[in-house]
Amino acid sequence: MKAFLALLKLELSGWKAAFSMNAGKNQKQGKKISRAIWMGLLLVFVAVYMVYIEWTVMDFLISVQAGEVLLKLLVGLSMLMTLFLGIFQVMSSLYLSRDMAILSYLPVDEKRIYAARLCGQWVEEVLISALFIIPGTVVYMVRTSFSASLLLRSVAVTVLSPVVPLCVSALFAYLLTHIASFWKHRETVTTALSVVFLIAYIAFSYSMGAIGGRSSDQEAMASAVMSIRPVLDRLTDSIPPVRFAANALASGGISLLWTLLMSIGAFALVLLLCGRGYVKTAAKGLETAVSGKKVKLDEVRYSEQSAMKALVRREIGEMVHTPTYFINGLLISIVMPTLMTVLMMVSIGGSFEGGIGPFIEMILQEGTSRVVIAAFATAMMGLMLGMNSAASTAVSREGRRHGLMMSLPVDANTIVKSKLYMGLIFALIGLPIPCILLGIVIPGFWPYAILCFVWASLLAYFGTCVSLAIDLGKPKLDWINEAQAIKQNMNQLFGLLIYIVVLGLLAAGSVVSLLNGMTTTVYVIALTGILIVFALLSRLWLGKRMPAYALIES
Amino acid sequence: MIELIDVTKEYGKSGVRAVDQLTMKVEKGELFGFIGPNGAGKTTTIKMLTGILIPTSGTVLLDGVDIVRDPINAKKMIGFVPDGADLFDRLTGLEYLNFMADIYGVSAEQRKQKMDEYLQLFELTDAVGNRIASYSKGMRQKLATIGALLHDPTIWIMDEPMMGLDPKAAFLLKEEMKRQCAQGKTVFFSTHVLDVAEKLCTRIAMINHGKLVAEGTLEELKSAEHAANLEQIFLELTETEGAEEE
Repeated sequence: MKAFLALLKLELSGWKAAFSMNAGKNQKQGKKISRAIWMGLLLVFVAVYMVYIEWTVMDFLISVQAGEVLLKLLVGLSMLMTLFLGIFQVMSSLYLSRDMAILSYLPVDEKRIYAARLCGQWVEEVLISALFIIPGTVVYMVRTSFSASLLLRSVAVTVLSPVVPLCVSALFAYLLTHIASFWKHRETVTTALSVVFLIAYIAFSYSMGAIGGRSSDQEAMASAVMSIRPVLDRLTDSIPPVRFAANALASGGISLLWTLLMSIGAFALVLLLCGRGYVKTAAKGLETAVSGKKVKLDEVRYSEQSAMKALVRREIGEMVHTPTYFINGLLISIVMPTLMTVLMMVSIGGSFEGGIGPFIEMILQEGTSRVVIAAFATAMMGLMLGMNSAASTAVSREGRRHGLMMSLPVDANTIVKSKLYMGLIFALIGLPIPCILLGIVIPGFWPYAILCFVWASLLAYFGTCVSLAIDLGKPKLDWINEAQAIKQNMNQLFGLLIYIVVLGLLAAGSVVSLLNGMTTTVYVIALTGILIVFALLSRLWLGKRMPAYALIES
Repeated sequence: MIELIDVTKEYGKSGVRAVDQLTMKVEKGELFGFIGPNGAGKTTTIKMLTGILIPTSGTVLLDGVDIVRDPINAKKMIGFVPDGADLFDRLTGLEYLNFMADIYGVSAEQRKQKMDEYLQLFELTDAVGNRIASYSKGMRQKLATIGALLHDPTIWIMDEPMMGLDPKAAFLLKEEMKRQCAQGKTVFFSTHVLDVAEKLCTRIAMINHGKLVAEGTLEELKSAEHAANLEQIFLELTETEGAEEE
C-alpha cells in the first residue's frame, strides 16, 4: 500500500507543481502575488462560465417543463466526455510516458504501478466531472429547491461516475497499444489510430448536434427536447453505468450503491486484464523503431539553411513525431475549427426555418446576414484557437533540453520567433477547410468565407502570441513525461482565459453595434481594425517578453 | 582562452552560492580538467561558461569576448557537450547533426567532411539514420560530441564526457581531445574520473562548495599538497573543507 501511495503521489506531483505559486528560482514577491491573482481569476472565470451555461440550459428546460432532465444530462455528458477523451489521456499518461523506464525497474508489482497511474488519471477525470456536475446541481437546487442530500449525492456521483468510462477508455488504450505494436512505425500507427477514434467522436458529436441543433423558437425547442429525451433515455437506459449514476444523482438509494459496486468491479476487472504485463505493454508503446537500412554517407546530399529555418523545422518535427503532443495539441487545433463550423452550420441551418430571437432574425435580413454569419463563424472557428498547445507549451516542452538550446549561438528573439512561427502554422492549418466548407455550403458566401479566414487568422495570431508570451513567463521545464509537459501546464489555461475574455468582448461589441444599426461596411472595417490592433498589441507584448527566454534558469 | 573573473552564482532568495567568487584562466592549447565532489558547482560553472546561466556577479570571457555582453559571438566559439546528453529524441542522428550545422552556419562541404570523419571515428555511421530515442547513453554522448565539433570550435567544453562511453570510445575521445589541443584549441572538461584527469590534463582545477580549492599542473598540486597522486589530493582537500565546516 505504501508503494501504491508513493506512486500515486508521484502521479499527482505534476498538478501540485502546476498549481504552485512559485514562478521560478529567483522569483520576486510581486510575481508571486500576480500569479495568485491570475489563478484566482481563472477559477472564478471557469466557475462563472459553467454556472452561466448550466443556468441557461436550466432556463430552457424549465420553460418546457423538463427541469429534471438537467441532472440526467449532466451525468450523461460528463460520462461520455470521460469515455471519449479519456482514451487520449490514458494513452499519453499510461502508455506513452517516458518515465516508464524508471518505474519499470522499481521493485513494485506492475499491477500496483498500473493502479496508481490509473488512479492518478481518475483524479483528473473527477476534477473534470466536478466542473459539470457540481455547478449544475447547485443551479438545479437554486431553480427548484435546496436539498442537502442532493448536494452530497452530487459529490458522490462526481467521484464515482468517471470510473466506468475511464476503465473502458483504459481497455481501448490497452488494445490500441497492442495493435500498434505489430507495426515497425508504431508511433505513427498510434497517432493514426487515435485520429480514427477522434473522427468517430466527431461523427458522434455531429449526430448529437444534428438532433439538438434544429431548435428555434420555444415550440421548436420543446420539440427538440422531446427529440433529445428519447436519445438521452436510450443512453441512460441501455447503458447501465450511466443509468445507475443518473438515478444515483436524482434519487440516491440503491442506484448509488450499484454505482459504487460497478465502479469497484470495473476497476478490478481492468486491473486484472491490463495490469498484468503492464510494464511490457507500455514498453511496446515506447519502443523506438530501429531501421535496418543503413545511411550511405556518400549519397547524403547536404544543404545549408538558416538557423531560423532549422529551428522551425525542429519545432514542427517535434510536434508531429511525438504522439502525446500530436494527440493532445495538434489534433485539437486542426480538427476543432472544422467541427465547430459544422455544428454551427447545423444550428444556423435549423434556425433559417424558424428564427430564435432578434439576433438570429437579423441574420435572416438580406445584406446583414452574410456578414453576421461570417462573424459568428469566425467566433466558432476561433473558439479553441486560444488553447493553442503548440504555442502555449512551446518553451515548457524544451524540458531538460533547455540548457542545450541556451548554449546555441542564437539569440533569444530568434528562438522565440521560431516557436511563434511553429505555433502560427499549427493555429492556421485548421482554418482553410472550414472556410472552404462555408463557401461551398452557403450560396454566394465565398467573399465572406475569405473574410472569415482573415478574421480567424488575426484571432489565431493574437491567441498564439498571448499563449507564447505566457509560457515564456513561467515555463514548466521539470516534467518527467511528455503528457505532463502538455496537460499539467496551467499556462494553457491562462492563455485561454485572456483569449476568451477578448473574444467575449468582441462578440458583445458586435451584437450591440449591429442591433443599434451599424452598417455592415462599417462593421467589417471596425472589426478588422480592432482585430489588427489586438494582433499588433499581442505581438508587441510578446516582443517585450522575448528577452526573458535568455533568463530562464533550468 | 577561457577566463573567469570573480564569478559568483546565487540561487533563490536564500542566496545559496553554487559558485563563489571563482577566478581562473585556461590558456589556448591547454587540456584543462575541472574536478570536484558532487554538488561542488562544476555544472553550474560550465553552464555559466556556455551562456546557459547568467552569473550573479563577475565576468566570463571566451577568447576575450564577454559571454553576457556578446553571447552570440562567444557561443559561436564554443563546442559544448552537455551532461547526460539530453538531445532531441525525435530527430534522427543525421537530422540532429544537420540541425547543429545549420545553427552554427557550417557549409555543406565542411559538414560533409566533418560528419564523414567523426561518424567513422566514433563508429556511429550505421546508427545515424535512426532516431536518437533508440540510442544508448554512449551513442548519445558520441553524437553530442560530433555535433559539438562540426563547426571546428576554438573552445571545447564538456560536462562529464566519459559518462556512458565504452573503453574504446573513451580512448578515441581522449585522443581527439589531445589532437584538438595540439591544434591550439582550448579543451575544458569536468570529470569524476580522477585517473583520466591525472593522465590527460595539462592543468587541473578543483572546486568544492563553489570555491576554487586548488589549481595547477599535476606536479604543482602534488608538491603543494605533499601527495602522491590526484586521488589523495582530492580526498585531502575535500575532507579538509568538510572538517572545517563541521
